[in-house]
Amino acid sequence: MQARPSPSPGRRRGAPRHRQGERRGSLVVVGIGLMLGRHVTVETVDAIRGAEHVFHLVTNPAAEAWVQRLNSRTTALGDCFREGKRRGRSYSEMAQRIVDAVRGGEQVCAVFYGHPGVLVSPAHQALVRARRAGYPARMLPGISAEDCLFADLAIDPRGLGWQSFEASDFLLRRRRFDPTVALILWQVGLLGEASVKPRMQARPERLRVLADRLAPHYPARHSAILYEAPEFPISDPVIGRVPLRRLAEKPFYPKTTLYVPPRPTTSYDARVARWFTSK
Amino acid sequence: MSGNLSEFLVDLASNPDQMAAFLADPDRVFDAAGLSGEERDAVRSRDAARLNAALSGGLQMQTGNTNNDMPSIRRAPARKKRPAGKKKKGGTKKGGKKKSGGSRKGGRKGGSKKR
Repeated sequence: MQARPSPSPGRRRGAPRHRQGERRGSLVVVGIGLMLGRHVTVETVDAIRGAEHVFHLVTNPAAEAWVQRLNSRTTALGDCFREGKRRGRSYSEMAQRIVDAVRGGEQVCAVFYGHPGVLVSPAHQALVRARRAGYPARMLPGISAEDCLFADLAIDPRGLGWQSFEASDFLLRRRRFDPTVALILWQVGLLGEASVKPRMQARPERLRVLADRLAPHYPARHSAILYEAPEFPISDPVIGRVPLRRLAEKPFYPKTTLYVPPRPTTSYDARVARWFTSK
Repeated sequence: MSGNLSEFLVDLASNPDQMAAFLADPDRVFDAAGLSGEERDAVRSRDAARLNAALSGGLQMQTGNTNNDMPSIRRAPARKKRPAGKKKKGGTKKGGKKKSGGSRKGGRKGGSKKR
């Protein structure tokens, strides 16, 4: 039996034609997880090592150094951020830089922290733009903050049920949720923030709006968990409890996640319950 | 920004021998890596916020942890005003049946009438 060829998509309709021997650009988008150098798959390491040009948006300079050890041909994307500049514009610029290199004929690898497909706007934008331009582009999975949360808080998302929202979107769209199911809110530290700035944290008045939205659906003393995944091999996860009504008293940073455990429920569908006892 | 501290942390993450040496005798590994007093304190604390501050003054941590944009706000297009006295078109299908789809409001009304 012959080995399967590597999964690189063929030329799409409308893709630029390439003469034999001509350099053809491609894109692989990868995620390196949260913990420095420890959450990475073999597939991702190969993609970084094999690239002609590596772009990266990672959490700290040590993670940059780790990427550079695998491949010295790197370009950081963090300089696309600027205080007062809309985040959407920064992400669009990042995607454009990546795709410009692909159009230039380079084998490009774009490295993000976490899972590149989970709450990573520039990764999705770059993938879509490269594919639309007719270049082979794919995404490799990584360990997301959510994966770390399930492990560190020992939560089985399938057992309790699980609903997950970006915090600003949750409030803006008045997302409906089920309080008897576990609730996870991401980027609470960035509630309604269009731009970034140093030492950012959620504004208390906005946290109060979030508390007012959540608290009526839970018992009076219901507590939530503030969670931050560990970033370094010597650091531990940050796990703190706070009563829902007092959310505004705690600092929420951009990487802080809010986990709201489910409210107990005893209701069930009697007809379905009979299935479990019938012979 | 400290290159020494970055390299030190990458070594710890990628080399089990280095991690074992650090756990056995941190000061000897600090000396070999040439870490400053502030960097040593940050590593000893094992606190991610302090480590990030020692690495980059905190700026990178804050910006690097936003990967996703604000939700986009799309407003519904403004409705054209109908001239006074002109009846609404398309309210009923041929044969006089109520539309099952259409606007949410209309759908709900239709549903309640059936009951």
